[in-house]
Amino acid sequence: MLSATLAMVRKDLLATRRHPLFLVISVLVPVAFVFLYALIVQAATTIPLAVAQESHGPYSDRFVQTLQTMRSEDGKAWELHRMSPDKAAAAYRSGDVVGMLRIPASFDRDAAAGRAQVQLSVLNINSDISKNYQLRVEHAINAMHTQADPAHSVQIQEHPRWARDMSFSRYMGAGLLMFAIIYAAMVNTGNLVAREWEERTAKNVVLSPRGLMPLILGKWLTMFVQTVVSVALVVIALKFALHYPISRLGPATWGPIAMLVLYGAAFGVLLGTALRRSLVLVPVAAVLTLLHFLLVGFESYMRGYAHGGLVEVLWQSTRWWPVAAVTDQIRFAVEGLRPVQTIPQYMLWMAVLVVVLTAAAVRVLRTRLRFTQGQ
Amino acid sequence: MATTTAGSESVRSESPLPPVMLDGVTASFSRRGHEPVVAVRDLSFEISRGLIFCLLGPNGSGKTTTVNMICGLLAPKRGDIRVYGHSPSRERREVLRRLSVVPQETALYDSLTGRENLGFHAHYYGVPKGEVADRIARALDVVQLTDRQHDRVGTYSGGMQRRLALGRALLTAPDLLLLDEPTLGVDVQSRRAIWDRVRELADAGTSVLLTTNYMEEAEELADDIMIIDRGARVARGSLDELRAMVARQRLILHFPGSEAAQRAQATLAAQQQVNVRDSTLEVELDDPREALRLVGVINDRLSGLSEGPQRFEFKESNLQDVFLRFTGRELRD
Repeated sequence: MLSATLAMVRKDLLATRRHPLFLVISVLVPVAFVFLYALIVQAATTIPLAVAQESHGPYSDRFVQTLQTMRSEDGKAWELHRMSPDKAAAAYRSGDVVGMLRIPASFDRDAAAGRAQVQLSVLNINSDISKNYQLRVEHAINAMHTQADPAHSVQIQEHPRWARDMSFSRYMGAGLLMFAIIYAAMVNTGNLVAREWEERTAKNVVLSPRGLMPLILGKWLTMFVQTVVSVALVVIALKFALHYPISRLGPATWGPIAMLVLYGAAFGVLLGTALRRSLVLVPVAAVLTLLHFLLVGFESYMRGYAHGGLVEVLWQSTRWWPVAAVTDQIRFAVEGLRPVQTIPQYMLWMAVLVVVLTAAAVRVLRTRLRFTQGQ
Repeated sequence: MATTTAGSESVRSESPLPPVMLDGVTASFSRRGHEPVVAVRDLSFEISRGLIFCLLGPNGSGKTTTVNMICGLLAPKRGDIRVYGHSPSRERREVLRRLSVVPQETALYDSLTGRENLGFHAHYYGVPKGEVADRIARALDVVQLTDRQHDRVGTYSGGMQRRLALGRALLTAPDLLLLDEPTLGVDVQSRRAIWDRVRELADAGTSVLLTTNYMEEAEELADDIMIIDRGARVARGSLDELRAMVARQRLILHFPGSEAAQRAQATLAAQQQVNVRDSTLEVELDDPREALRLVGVINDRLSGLSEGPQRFEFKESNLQDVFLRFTGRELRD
């Protein structure tokens, strides 16, 4: 059986090397996603601000210094552009800068008297952008007050669950990695199966006296090799676009990654046997994986925000789907943190899903093997 | 008995059991919202060892369904099938060890070379590792594709692909070869080459089940012919036996018009097997000497109307006549 299995692997890898279209597709879609999210993450972390400092004194200098040093786990809060009031106003009017902060000439004098004001102008085309500017400026004012008069300021005692925040890019990176793994495994496996029908060779491969096992094992092994190649390329893209710490994908992540590969492959076999067309399979796989990414790739995100409306309905209806917990395992392991949910039961649940999907694929396969008039 | 298949030495089993035996086999396909289609109806036959058995039938007559049942891809709804005594549905591996199939679709990988296709098949079907290279070389030689073995199959002509599919089937040195319309869509030269190889295989002791709807293929190759139509047997025998089932000769009379031909038919219908097509009248004759009497009768009846036959000819009956007699002239799609 080993020689028959290896024959299937060699044949499929040779065919893939000569026609690598679907391998390329299995890489391109997740890589495009990574770069798309790299843009979003960039926009959500460091925001630009034109600062027109008309007042110079201990209060205004401290305030600007506070703005300059503000940062989160994702990086600096502000990209400050200090300029004269006229230039700042012109840049804001022309749309070259989205936010402008004017520190009026009376600021230091007014601050000493306890009633200072700053003027924040925001091109409020998007409420999320406006909120970012408002919250960060307020935070800077509060920080300045705390430094200036610690005896009379209101302070927050934070009790985060973990020692430090998880960066947005790493949080996103785990979801994108899940997307890449499931999509690559689904497309590679589905294509390997569908191609036997497209090339009208299905009858010949099921007529071997070695039975169906070399066919099944061969396809799985080939899929594994192809998916390793696809995911490796996506991981490199994650490293460069999102600075994802790929060196931390250590042994604690291998089990969940392997389970996601098996899950995607089981879905791929089902799609391949049901659709029997590679080109149809690609968009179907993309939609299915995207649904996973949006519904369970951010499970912990939705848990925090699912209050009413469609989001809560979606969260309630998908929270039991184990892909979320398994993805979180990768997410937390990379950070060296203990995940919210215990993993073994979800790994078991994933294994059950893999078996169910594979059994469904075998059932469809048996139906499809009822050859009539050729194929 | 030791025989050579694809040039490789293999010991054929001395099983006294027939290569293929079908007993009252019926196969049907269910269709959602429709009555099930009965593809094969109460079919029984047995294939003798070392002979070429031909299933001859029009499109949709159940030939491929029968092949699929013999190799275990389909289970019959009723009846029993045995391949060397084994049931294809219950002892599939035993059956598949003994036979090779050349499917209607060539089932070759276009992106692989001819040699790579054969290599994959040999390993996948369990040819002993030490024999693979030798068997591939001999199979390529048998189907005359050694020169093109390193070209991708996608560049092969239809005939070359059919020959390669035949060579592939020989790699496992089968006792029984199932050829499902093996020369479909190939040119005369390739067809002749395939026929020659198949005949050599049968002469070397391989039992062959051939399905075709080409009369000349059946005439050229078959030792035993079964004509099936709509899934059921309509005739069986050697070529001579089948030809004996219809008249040995036919008298063909050409009239100036179809009305004259029909009038002549009315004159003869009571006495002879007569068919009219347009302005042509065909009369089946058991005794050629009868022809002159018939022409005389027709001339007597129609001479006054100047509608007598313009010319006439004799033809020997062939398998096509037998085929059309049993399956009719209705179009099959």
